Amino acid sequence: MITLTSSDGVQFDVREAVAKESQIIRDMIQDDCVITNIPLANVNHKILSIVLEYCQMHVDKTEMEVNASKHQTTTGEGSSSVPVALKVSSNKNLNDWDKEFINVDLDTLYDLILAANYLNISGLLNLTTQAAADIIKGKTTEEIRATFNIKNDFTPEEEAAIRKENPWAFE
Amino acid sequence: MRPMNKKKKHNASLSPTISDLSSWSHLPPELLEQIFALLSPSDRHRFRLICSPWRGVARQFIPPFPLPFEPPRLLLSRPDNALSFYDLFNSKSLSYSLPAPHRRARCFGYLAGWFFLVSDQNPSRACLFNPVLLAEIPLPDLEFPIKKAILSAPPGFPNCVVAVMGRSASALCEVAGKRWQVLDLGQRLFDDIIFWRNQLCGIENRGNVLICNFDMESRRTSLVTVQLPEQWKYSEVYLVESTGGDLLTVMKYCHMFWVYKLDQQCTWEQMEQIGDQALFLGVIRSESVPVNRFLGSGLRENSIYLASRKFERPFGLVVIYSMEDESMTTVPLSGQHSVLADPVWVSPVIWP
Repeated sequence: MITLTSSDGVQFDVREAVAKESQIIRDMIQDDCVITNIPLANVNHKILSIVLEYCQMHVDKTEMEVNASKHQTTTGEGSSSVPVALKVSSNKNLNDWDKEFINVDLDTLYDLILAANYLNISGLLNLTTQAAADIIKGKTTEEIRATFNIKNDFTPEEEAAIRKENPWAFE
Repeated sequence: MRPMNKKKKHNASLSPTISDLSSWSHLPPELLEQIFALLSPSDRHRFRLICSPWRGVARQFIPPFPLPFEPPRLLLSRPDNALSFYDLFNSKSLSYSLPAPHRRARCFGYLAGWFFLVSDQNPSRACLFNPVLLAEIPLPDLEFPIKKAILSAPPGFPNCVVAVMGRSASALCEVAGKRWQVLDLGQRLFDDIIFWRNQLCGIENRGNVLICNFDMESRRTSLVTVQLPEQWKYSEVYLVESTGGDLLTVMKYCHMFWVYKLDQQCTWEQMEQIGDQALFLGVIRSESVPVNRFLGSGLRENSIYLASRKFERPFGLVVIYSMEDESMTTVPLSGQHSVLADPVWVSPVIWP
C-alpha cells in the first residue's frame, strides 16, 4: 500500500498498482523503492478522490482481463474466442464507464485536467480534454463564453479583425 | 472513495470565487492546445474568438499539411465586382473583399489558402496571395492572357511550381523564379491542366491527355500521350485527381457524366461508381473530397458537383450529379454571380 496525501492534508491509502497509473508516481517509486508516503501539493482531496476512482477502475478492469486470459491458459481448453469476447465487452463497459465518469460540472472538469496533467495520467488527460472539446463543439462564441464563464477581453475592433482573418469559416 | 455526488454542484465553500470564473481562459497553454487539436476547423475558428489567451494558443498551433478541411466553398464574383463565398451545404453566402491592392483582381487558381490573382487593370500582373496570412508572392509578368493557373504544392514546400494555361500557350514558373518558361507543345493547346504525381497533365485540343515531365533546370520536356475516349468530341472535359491518387477524366454532355480512370497500362478505364468521394469540378479548379471526413455536412458521396457560369440559365450555377442513380439536380444562384468570371471551388483552410 502507498499513502497519497492531498494538498489539503487528506491521506488516501491505495494499492501500488492504482497509484502507478500516474506516470509521475511510477517514476518516484522506481527511483526509490522504500517510498510509502507521497505528498501531492497540487491536488486537493476532492479531486484526488475522483482521480483515484478513475485509476482504481482502470486497474481493476486490466487485472480482470489478465486473470481471464490466465484462467484460459491454465485450463488450456477455452476456445480463443472467449477472452476476445470478454475483452471486447469489458472495453465497451470501460468506455461507457468513462463516459459516465466524465459527466461532471465544468469546475471539476477543469481541476481534473490540471490533475491529470500534473500526475501524468495519459488516459485521464485524453478523456478530460476530449470532454472539454466536446463541450466547445458546435457552440457559438457567445455560448462558449457563457458556458466556460470566460470574459471577452477583445475590443470590438480586435474582434472584427480576427473574424476577418478567415472569412469563409462561417459562424 | 468519493466523498460526494459528482453531478451535484459542489458545496458553497468550494464554489468558484470571482477570480476563478475566468480560469478556463488561463488553463496552461499546452493543455488548451490539446483541446484545440481535437476541434473541427469551424470550432477552431470560434476558439480563436473567445479571449486573448485562447487566441494565443490557436496562433501557436500550426497544423501539418494537409489540414483537416471543410467541404469546398464557392468563390463567386458579384455583378458589382465584389466577391462572396457560397456555402452550398448551408445555403449561406458571405460577402468578402480582398485587401486594397487586390480589390480589383481576378482569381485564376487556388491551393491551400493561396489564391492566384491577376490584376484587372494590368492583365500581365500576377501574384500568389494568402488572405489569412496576409502574405503576397509576386510572380513574373504573364506573357499571354490565361484561363487557369495551378500550383504543384503550397508555396514554401520544396519544388513548388506554378503552371498557367492560356488560349495561345501554357507556361511554368518556379515560385521564386524570374520568368515563365513557355511549354513547347507544337500547335497543341490545353483545355484543362492538373499537377499529378509531380507531372503536368493537360487535355489538348485534339482529344489526348498529355503527361509532361518537365525538368525546370534543363527545360526539357518528355511527353506521354494518352488518347481520350471518343465522347471528348462533344463533351466538356475536366481533369481531377481522385482521393485514392488516380488521374481521372470527367466528361459531361447534357445530362450525362462519364468518369474515366487512368489505369496501369495508361488506358482509360470507365468508372461506373466513384464510391466514398465527391468530385468538385470547375473551369478554374477541381478537386476530390473524401466524404467520410465530413459526416453530417450534407455532402453526398458518389457524386459530382459541377460549378460553371454556363449553367446560369436555365439551370442555375451548381449541378449535382449522382453516379448512383444518374440523377441531376441544380442549385440556382441567380443574381449572386457575375457571368464575367468563373466561380472557383475553395477549400477552407484554418491558419490562426
